[in-house]
Amino acid sequence: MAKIESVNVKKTFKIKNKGNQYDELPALGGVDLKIDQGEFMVIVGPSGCGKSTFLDLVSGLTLPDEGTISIDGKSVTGPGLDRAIVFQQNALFPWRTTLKNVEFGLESINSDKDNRREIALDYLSLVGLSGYHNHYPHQLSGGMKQRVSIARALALNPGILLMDEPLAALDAQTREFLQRDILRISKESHKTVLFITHSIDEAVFLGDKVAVMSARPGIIKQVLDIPLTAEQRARDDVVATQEFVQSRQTLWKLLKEEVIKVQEAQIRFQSQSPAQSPARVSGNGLINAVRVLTKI
Amino acid sequence: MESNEFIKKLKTFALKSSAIVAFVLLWEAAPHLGLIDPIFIPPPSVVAVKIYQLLLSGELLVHIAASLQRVFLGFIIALVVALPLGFLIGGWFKTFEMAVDPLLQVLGQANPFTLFPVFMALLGIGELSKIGIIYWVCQWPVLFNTVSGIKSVDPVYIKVGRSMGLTKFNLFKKVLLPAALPAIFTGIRMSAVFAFFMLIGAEMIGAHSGLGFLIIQSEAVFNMPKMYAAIVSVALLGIAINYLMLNIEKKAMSWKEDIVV
Amino acid sequence: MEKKIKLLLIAVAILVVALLVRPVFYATESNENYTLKASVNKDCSGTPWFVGVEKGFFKDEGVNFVDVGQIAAPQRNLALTSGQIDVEDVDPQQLVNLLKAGVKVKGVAQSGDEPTDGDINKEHMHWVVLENSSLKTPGDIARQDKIVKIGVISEGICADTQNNALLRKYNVSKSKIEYVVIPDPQQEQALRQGLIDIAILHPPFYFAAEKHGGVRVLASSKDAFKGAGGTTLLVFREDFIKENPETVRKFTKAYKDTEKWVNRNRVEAGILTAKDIGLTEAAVHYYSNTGKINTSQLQYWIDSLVTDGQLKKGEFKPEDLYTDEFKDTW
Repeated sequence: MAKIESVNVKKTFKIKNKGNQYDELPALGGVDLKIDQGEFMVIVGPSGCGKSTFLDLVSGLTLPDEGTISIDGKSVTGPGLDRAIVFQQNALFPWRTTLKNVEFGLESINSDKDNRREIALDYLSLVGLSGYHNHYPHQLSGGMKQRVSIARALALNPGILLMDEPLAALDAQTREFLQRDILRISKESHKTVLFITHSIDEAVFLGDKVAVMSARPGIIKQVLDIPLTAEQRARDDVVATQEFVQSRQTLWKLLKEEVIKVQEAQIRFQSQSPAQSPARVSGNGLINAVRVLTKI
Repeated sequence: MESNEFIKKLKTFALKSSAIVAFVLLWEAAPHLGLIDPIFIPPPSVVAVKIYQLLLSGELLVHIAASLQRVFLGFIIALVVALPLGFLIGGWFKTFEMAVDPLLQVLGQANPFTLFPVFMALLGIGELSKIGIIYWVCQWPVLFNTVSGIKSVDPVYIKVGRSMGLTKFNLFKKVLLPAALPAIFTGIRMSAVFAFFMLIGAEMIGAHSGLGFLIIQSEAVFNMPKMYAAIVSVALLGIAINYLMLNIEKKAMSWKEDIVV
Repeated sequence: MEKKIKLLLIAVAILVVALLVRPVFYATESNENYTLKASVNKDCSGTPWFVGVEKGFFKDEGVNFVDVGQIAAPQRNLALTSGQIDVEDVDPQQLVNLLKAGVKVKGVAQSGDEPTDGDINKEHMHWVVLENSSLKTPGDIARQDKIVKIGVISEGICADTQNNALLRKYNVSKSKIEYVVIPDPQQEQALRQGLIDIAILHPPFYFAAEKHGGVRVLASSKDAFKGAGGTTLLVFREDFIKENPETVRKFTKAYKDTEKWVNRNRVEAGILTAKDIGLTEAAVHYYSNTGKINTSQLQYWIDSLVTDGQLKKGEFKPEDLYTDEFKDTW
């Protein structure tokens, strides 16, 4: 049985338009996806295709309009401690120290103060931040903050890690280092990971499989197997291996079609009604398209 | 090294007090410059002497104690009423908010001076109505700042809390409350200062003591030095309270890096 | 840094020089047209002004006034001191307060007075109680079990000074009463709510309360203050008198002519006042029929203030309060 299974999941948003009526914005048009236990699944797709929405649904923060998402065979009805999310933006509580942030989730399930502290310190050292436990978030760099977020997510020992572009806001070098850390940690702890990104390189490096989502309303266009082994990934020159290059090229082709669709929709949109802009956007679609295209 | 530090501190202190010193000097010089009549705006030297006299006779302390008591009680009651109300409104009880908000907007606009007859009719002319007026004035900044503080909490914090399966109560206690605390504190600090401004209003009717009473009384008998002594005392107390609250705020929110006392 | 220090030193030097210089305070205006500044409030205190204009008394003397607008009672002393207004109508206690503060003012004629015909409605103040109050005469205050609460506008002005005299007259100890500071407009409400037992009111407030019913007059200012209860003086700053003696003379004469007319035509004066205030009817004060300053009344005020501890014995004599330079107008 798959760890996470999504069957024909649809989600539509109602957005208030200028005439104070509601426009229907179909975000997901029937997503079918299977993720096995221990698998690192990456989802890539053009901007606004619904990736984040899908993640929200898996986490249980929202529910689908149609279709089901099941975990270990049971339908998802709400958030749970078997899943933890890491967000793109800084979501650490500024009023808590690093240690207290990591302990946060534990407080509802573990009443032993010392035990909580021990666990939290363990995870902090796992992400390479021992010694920073008394720091406040504002004293940490972006990369460090994301590490703490990851530690916080891991502290609950969830079976599933959900990551919504967690490295997108970091500089390129920090990003590369953290990618390796994330890979190592998730493999060592046998977590099932659902990871969203815009970066094809990142997807190929991290993912056992990469699912390409279509333009809105999102469906899974294709799921690609990434044939890189763990040893290969551990090497510094992994990007030069044939498997890497080929995977990337295939992905690029698949993605390009979808990005162009989004671009064309943008142009259509703008010629129709220049004042309107697409709602539910995670950034300007055109700019994102350029970002994806230039990440070669 | 120590003397350098000391000189540095001295310089900072001198800089910070330069504006106030300039103001006081100007005030002292103004009568001589023909800018104001010293009879009806006495210069700081006269006021200072008067304050000293009033302190010596114990009279000033009696008035300060009376006023402080009223301010303190009115302020505390305002907190007790406005904080929970603010949480309820700013929180998720949308229907409650919709029902209650229009009334609150109207009441919040009402000038406390115009509400005098109401306070008198409901609470009489004793301590209760004075505390009542102070409470009334204090609750609005607390209420509105609490509501806006809660509403402007970054939604991602809520998401984190929810994703970890927090109950609504814990979500409120562990996420919403600490996140909104800076704004709430601002409201509390504002209302503490407001309370002092309202002393004159609160002590206008049925008072025998208090700084506001002293101001009104002195003016009625045309004792200007005494009136200004009282006015300056109110101002100084207000400043002291503000500094006190800033210090409390700084301690309670030591994680915030930009509070400068 | 050098430049900043230099600027700072210059600024300090200027301040020091300023502190040593003592220029004249207000520019005195020469008065060609016999005009002065006054503040006319839209209440019964405005009667001489309204009537004086309507009946042409000011015009007859060739004197004029500029109305600077309404100024509330607590601020009027300030206005006179600062030169915002040139003339004011005040009771001897307020005049003493001004002099004590070092303001150089003098009374030139007597304005308000208590009536001699026994008409209580011409008197300065009424002590008002509820109809069913157990206080039938002021002496009853001493016989009450609870402390009697008396509403006054402020402590240290006419209301409590006259009440102190009333208490002394009826042998009531001050420990039997408590002054409650309430502005005149709110005293009626306080009385009816039972928050105070006695309200000491000026017109129009006592007229209003009595008209609304359910109250009666316990005592009046004549009762309390031996006929000096209504004394007020027309007061000018000394420097204004020095610079503009003719203006003062003409104005005083016109003002007194108006007041004498008002005494004889109280109904019409009331109608004129009401019209100018914007009410349907207005109460009218009673004025001295001559303008001659009654020094024994002044002495009575001074003595009462000494008894109350507001003045030291011998600190003031009646002559300190007024000048008879303009007795030709009396």
